[in-house]
Amino acid sequence: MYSAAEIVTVAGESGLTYAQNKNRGGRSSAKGRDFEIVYGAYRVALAAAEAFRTGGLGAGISFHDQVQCFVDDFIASGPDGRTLSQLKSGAAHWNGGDHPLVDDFELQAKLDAVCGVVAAYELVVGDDGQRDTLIASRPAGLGSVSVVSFPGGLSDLELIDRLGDLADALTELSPRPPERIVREQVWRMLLGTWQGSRGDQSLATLVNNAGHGPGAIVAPLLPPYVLSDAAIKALDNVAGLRFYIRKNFFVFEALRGMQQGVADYHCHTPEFEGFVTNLLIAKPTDFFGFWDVLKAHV
Amino acid sequence: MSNRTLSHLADQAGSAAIDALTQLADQALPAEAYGRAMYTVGQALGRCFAHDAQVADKSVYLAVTVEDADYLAAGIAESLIQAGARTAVACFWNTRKKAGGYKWLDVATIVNEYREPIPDGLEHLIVVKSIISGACVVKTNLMHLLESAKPAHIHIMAPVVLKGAEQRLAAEFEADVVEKFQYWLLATDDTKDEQGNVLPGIGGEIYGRLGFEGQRGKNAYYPTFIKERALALS
Repeated sequence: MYSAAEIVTVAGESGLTYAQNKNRGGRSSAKGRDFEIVYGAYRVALAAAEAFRTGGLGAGISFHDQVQCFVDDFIASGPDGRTLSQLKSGAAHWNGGDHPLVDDFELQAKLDAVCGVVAAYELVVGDDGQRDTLIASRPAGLGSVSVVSFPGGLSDLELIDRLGDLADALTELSPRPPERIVREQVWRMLLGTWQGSRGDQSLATLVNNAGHGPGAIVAPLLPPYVLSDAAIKALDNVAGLRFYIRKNFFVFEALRGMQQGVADYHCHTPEFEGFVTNLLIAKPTDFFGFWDVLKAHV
Repeated sequence: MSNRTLSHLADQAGSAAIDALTQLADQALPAEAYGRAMYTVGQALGRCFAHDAQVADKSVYLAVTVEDADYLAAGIAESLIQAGARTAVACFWNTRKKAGGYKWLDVATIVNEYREPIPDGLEHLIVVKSIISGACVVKTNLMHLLESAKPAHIHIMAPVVLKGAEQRLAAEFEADVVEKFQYWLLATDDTKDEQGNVLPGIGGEIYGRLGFEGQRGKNAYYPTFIKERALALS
């Protein structure tokens, strides 16, 4: 993302050494819910929901962390530029220490200018009080650095309940009804996928990995699937079956609405294609015949 | 070394239920006999509940998983119906995953559900599970039902739980929900193995014990108990 030569140009050899050491931390083990990972997954969720709403499928959007640069905790890249975030779950001050935050942001701005990158910057802290203090004491030269708070140390459900934008995004990403437990499941799939990704992933890759079956939890960022006329005709022949495609998942109701379900794998998978193929061969006429075909494949 | 503590309810359930519970832990027991033993345990739990809750003419809603439906749940339902309860049933096909492969990111999504209408003024909601360890499945199915059901009492019914399961489950719900919880358990075990199976528990992963080919196998199954109810109602 940033070359050693570009960093040396801005900050000299010592700056390069600092940037190289800074990004050595890597991700922690699987103990879970580190502030940085949770915030990254939150940003992935928001971007994914926006990609669904606009139908843009996340083209050109990618996420990175532990990048060799000066503001390196979380970077979102898109067609319109980058947002670089420094995350501090504990105490944070603009000045002080061997490498003050103010220096990191100033060096990063110079680096982006040298590289011709359109960039925005943010400092993310763990509570509103600290955010307000940092805004009040923000150095004059860092007026373009926004300071935001993000709650740490919460359970998944607590976090989703606290952040309305996250809850809305998770609802958007699911083929299921907007329920609390569904939002938690979508969140956990995104969190696990981001944690395991080692950063440096496109939005579509992250979302589609999170949506990998079975389980029908996260909708894939793929073009809308359209059932063939032959498949629709075969399904219409199943007595009492209602069906539709919701966010690239096959959803059905039967038995006077008492039976509801969703295919384990989304419509763009070989498993679902196998179901459609066998449906056309088996031509079930009642729900239990349909069930046998569905479950043989997905 | 695993330790099992029998509950006071185990005394009330009787020797046949305790014998059946012991059989479940026997890993050599064939699938058919295993299912019968689970059914026997269900009958006993249902009898205890019917007696204590005086269920005649009361609405009782059973929330069950597909793997428990024909065995534990069918046994419970038989006792409730014999006692004159007005029963209705929901059955859930859960797919369990660990997001990203991480143990701390357990999910148990509902891929299919059969749900009979939930009566207004529901008195007793019983969540049935053959074993409760992390409580992820019970949490999911109960949280899902509580989106629309407003039961006066919530009962968690299981032959065996891992020590601490009640606290783990309670931690997932608001206090006004937790205060409705009542547990109907026969035994508490304090150990699980590296695969996550409670010891002695119910003798390992229930899918295989009942003859299903893993999670996919049990989720492809449509229980006879549910099918008969569905055909009678539709």
